[in-house]
Order: sequence, then structure tokens, then C-alpha cells
Amino acid sequence: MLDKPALLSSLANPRIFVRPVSVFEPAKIEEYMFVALDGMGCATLPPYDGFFPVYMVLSRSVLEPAVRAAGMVALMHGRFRVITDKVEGPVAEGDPLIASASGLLKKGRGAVVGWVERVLSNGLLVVCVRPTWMP
Amino acid sequence: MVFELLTGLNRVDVFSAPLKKGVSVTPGTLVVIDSKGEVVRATPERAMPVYVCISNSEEPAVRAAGTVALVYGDLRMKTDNFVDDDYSPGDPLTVGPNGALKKHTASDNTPIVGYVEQVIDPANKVMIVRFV
Repeated sequence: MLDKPALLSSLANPRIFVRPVSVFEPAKIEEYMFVALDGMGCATLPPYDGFFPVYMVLSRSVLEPAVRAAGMVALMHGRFRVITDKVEGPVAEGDPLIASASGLLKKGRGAVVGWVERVLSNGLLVVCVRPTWMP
Repeated sequence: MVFELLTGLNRVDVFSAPLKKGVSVTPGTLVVIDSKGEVVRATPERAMPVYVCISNSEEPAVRAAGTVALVYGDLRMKTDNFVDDDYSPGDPLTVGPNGALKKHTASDNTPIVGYVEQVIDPANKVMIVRFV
């Protein structure tokens, strides 16, 4: 259960919606990355580190045939726990995380989107996604 | 010990995790998961991500299982698990020592985790908290 990326929470409480992928975006959007919405309401990489609001991608990859055919990705927001490898830089338990301009989670300044619950031995993280105001 | 979850379990996320040996918890204790995946009491030094324990580690079934149930989300709860202080409705709250709630101040390095909604019994610090 803890050896690969996975959503640990049910889909009952978070909000899920779909948006088209920005035509300007290279095909970099993958499952469990964090994206923003552009002026046309299309999913795109965040414009800068620490940007908010961001949404977690639930669709596997924009390169998947079904996703390409639909031209849409499923996005999720709310509070949930996830095992993810979409992280850059070293992090430790208890660290606040922001969404980077490459759609990954990292330590840094900006809006906190979640917290490192646990660093697993295989390099994956258990993250509690929970937007939080930090002093 | 006073604790009542005022939000339905269908509106919050509930999960269980093993309790670290030697740690005791009661319903309403603020906890975190340590590096071994075990539940320990939250402290200002290790405050996030914080969860609310809804199990009592002294109950035979909990002791036998060795795991406790945790909740998080946008929930309301009645609890008396506070650091000694004077509380008023609207006070922001953060993680205090030993898994208790405390009033959030400008000098705290921990985030706001909830707000006092109603003070029911000031003498015994029984309050309704909106946990965020």
C-alpha cells in the first residue's frame, strides 16, 4: 500500500471537477501534480512557486489516449491524504509544502498546500493536503 | 475528559494508525504520525499535519488492536483539551504542548488549526471548536 503513489482518502469529501488542458502547456501534467487554472479556465502549471489556488491532478497523464481524446483532466481540492512522488528537493516530516512552478511539491515560501506526514523509505511521501495559513 | 464529534463521520476523513508504545491518547487529543508511521501526541515542535484522535488508548479493544482512529477535515467538536488560559468565541487556536489546543498568538510558529466557536463551561474549559 505504501510502495507506490496512491490516494489515501475517499473521494467523498474532496471536490472533483474537470477542466481542459491549456493548449500552451507542454504535456507535463501528470497524476498527483498541482496545477493552476489560466484565464481561460484551462489547467496549466502554476505561474510561480507558492501560487494559490492550485488543484491536484487525478488523471493519469495528458498523454493517455482517453485523456487526450477528452482534452480534459480531473482536478481535486479539499483535504485529503496522498502518497506521492511529485516532490522536488529534500523534505522532512512536518514540513509545510508549496506548489512549485513545475507542478511539484516543495519547501518554500508561499501558500501552504499541505504537510509532510511521513517520508517513506522508498523516497515517496505521505502528504496531508490541507491549505493552511502560516504566520 | 469531554469530547464529542459534532460533524458526521461521512463529512470527515477517518483513518487508523498504530499507536506508539507508551503513548496514551483520549478522544480529542491532537496527534501526528511519526517517522515510523506511529501515532504520537502533537507538540509545537512537531505540529503538522495534525489529526484529532477519536479513540481512547485505555479501552480494551483499542489496546488489543494497538491502533487508534484519527479524523481530520472541516469539523466541529466539543472538547476540554485546552492549555490553561482565558478563551473567547473567535479565538484562533493552534497546537500546544502534549497534544492540547492553545490560543494562537503572533509569536507562534505553528499554523491556526481551529477557532473557538462557543465557550460552554469556562471553569472546565469545555468549548465547541471549529477545526480547520
